[in-house]
Amino acid sequence: MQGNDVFGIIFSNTNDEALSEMTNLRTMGSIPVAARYRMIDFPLSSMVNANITKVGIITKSNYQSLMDHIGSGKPWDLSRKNDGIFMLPPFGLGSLGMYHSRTEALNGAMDFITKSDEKYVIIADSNLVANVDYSALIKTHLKNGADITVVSADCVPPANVGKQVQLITDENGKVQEANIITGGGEKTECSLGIYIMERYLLIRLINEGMTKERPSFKRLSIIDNIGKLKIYACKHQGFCHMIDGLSTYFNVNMDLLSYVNRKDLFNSERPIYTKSKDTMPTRYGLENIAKNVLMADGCDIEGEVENCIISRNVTVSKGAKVKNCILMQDTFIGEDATVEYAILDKHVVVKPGKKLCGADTYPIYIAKSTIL
Amino acid sequence: MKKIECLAMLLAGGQGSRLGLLTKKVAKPAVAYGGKYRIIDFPLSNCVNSGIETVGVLTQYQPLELNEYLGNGNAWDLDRANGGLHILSPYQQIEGTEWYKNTANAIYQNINFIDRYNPEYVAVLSGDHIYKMDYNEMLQFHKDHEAVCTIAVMEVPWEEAPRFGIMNTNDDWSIYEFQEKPAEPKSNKASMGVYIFSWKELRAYLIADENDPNSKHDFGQNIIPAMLDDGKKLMAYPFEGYWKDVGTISSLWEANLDLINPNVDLDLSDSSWKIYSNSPIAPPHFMDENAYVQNSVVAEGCYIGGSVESSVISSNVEIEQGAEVIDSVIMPGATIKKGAKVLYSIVAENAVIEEQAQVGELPENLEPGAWDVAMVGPNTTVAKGEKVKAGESYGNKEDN
Repeated sequence: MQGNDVFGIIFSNTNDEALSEMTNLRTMGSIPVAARYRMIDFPLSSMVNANITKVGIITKSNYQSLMDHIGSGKPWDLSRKNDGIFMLPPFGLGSLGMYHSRTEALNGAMDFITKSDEKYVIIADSNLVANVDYSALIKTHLKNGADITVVSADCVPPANVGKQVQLITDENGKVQEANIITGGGEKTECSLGIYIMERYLLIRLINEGMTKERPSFKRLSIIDNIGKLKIYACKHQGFCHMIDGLSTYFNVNMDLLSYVNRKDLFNSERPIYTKSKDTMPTRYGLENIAKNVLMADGCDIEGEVENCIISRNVTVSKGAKVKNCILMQDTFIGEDATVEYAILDKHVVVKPGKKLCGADTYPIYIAKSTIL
Repeated sequence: MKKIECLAMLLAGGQGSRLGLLTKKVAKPAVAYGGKYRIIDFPLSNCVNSGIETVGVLTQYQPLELNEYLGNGNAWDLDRANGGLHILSPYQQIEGTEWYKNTANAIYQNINFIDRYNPEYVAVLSGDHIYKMDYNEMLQFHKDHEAVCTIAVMEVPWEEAPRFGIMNTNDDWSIYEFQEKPAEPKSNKASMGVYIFSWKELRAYLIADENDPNSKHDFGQNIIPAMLDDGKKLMAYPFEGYWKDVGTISSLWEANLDLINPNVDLDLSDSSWKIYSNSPIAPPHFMDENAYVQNSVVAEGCYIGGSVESSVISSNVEIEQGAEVIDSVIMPGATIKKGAKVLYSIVAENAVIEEQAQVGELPENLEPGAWDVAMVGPNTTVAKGEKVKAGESYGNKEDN
């Protein structure tokens, strides 16, 4: 054990089904977001920024891209002799099959959890785009002498991704009531799926869960324990979105065109780390137009781009018009092509002169390596 | 220790005094270039791409920032179990402590380091140039010709030849004479500051040179002429491609702008010959709705609200609305405030150009010959409405 007596566990396959288009080939954790990041960079950087030096990443399926991204953990300073990153692929005695709940997934990582000697554990999902201050979470947890502290935020609960947990708290943040709700509707205080508790309590909860009907982790940890355990909420203020489908994915990216949101997410006190690709800075040609664009390194912009999120090594050729789009790594827009309201996955090629238009309420998604 | 074929020694101890304010507090190889790089990224990346994985970096002048930048060599994939990157500073020995007196003496003082790896060949490189070169091809050339020393040369325009160390060669590219900055050059083959030596031979010459009280302990002035006098085989290795010495403010400015000059053969986006750098942690850059950026290079972490033409904008630079940047190099962390103008200039790291200030001048607004690159030094603020003239170097009081 090094650092601050806390270790982390991240679920990399959180709600993969919500973005089935993109998670066909990857985990939620490895979905590209905000021009140069992957979803898992957010919880991982939050942990590192809170001096956590040991992180287990639970994987389920399609985790090649995730392994490739994480590598040895160096970009997060987690390539350590002691501690560092631990990849936790499905594991179990006999034919346990695929995990169906976080409880089962955690049970598969039981060996990692029991062998750890940190007193506390933080558990996080990878479907959240937010720069959460985990140091504040640890402090609040200790100050309240809580059994479990869950990070919450006032937000519209995400729809299409199963049930959410609504929290009703007193003035001290103590959770008085927790309700299972369906997503959508009014803004309310919801759990963001980030928990801190003692490691022993986590082991006890998992064991309890596995002897019962293997309930969901939210039920096991919070719902079933209201009145039994001291459960507190630690409210996250600022930019925060859970990805629950293609249109939220689109909107979350587009929200980063706002200065306030960027300042909050790319907080210089708590940087978001990611793998570096050593690409040269972006080149803007003659007669290009670039307005309201978030742009990574390595691009070649000769055409017109407006209201876009553009990842590394993207080419926008002369005369092309790209508006309200998310272009992922290595996409190529040919001369005089027009693309609007679209999400182009990696290596998509739009040939010269082609036209591609989605609607503002329903952006079109073009799968990886498609040639149009 | 595992024997290696070729080891590189990178001379990074020079002050680079002609870069003025830029090298007041950092060594020349650590000077920023091209938006996200530093000069030393070029020889280091060339080494790694050429398969040379043991590199000694000789530091002496203001090494703090350079050492921090190099770290354990991880950014260049040079943190190795065998070999890798070693920072070699002058150290205390039983006979006393000595600074590196000159290039040859710097290598002499590290004979023990080189002997530990017992290489066949040693490449001696300088940390002053922007170029992409396969040292492995040069090594093959060296081996094919069974040379004692091979020096990379580049044909420069005849009128510029008097500024360089010139190699006079026979038809087979063997060198018969070396002239340092000749007034009347016999050849236009300029030394690029890239040498490959057979280590056994070089080792003997370094020891002999050290014992010569009249020697200046310099490769160009002493070691190479001594080898030529002894009739050793010295070869010139012809190099074609982009190579630029960035020893002066105007050449550094030019080399940066070469990145956006379509007529210059310098492509840093070639994924088969990447230039690695110790990148700062920065989010993607942002162009706001008033941004106007033409023919420029913009790195990560920037905010562009103003107008930028034919310029190189480095990481974490802010160019506010209404600011104007033309044909300039803005180094990492600088801020150009509303209504300020930066014309044909270098603005160094973390400098601030306040509102309505002007740095530099358009050449066409001046008498012919009166124009030169203006520079604002690192961590310097140019006050509101103030003007920095063309050719002026504007630094903090304590820096002047």
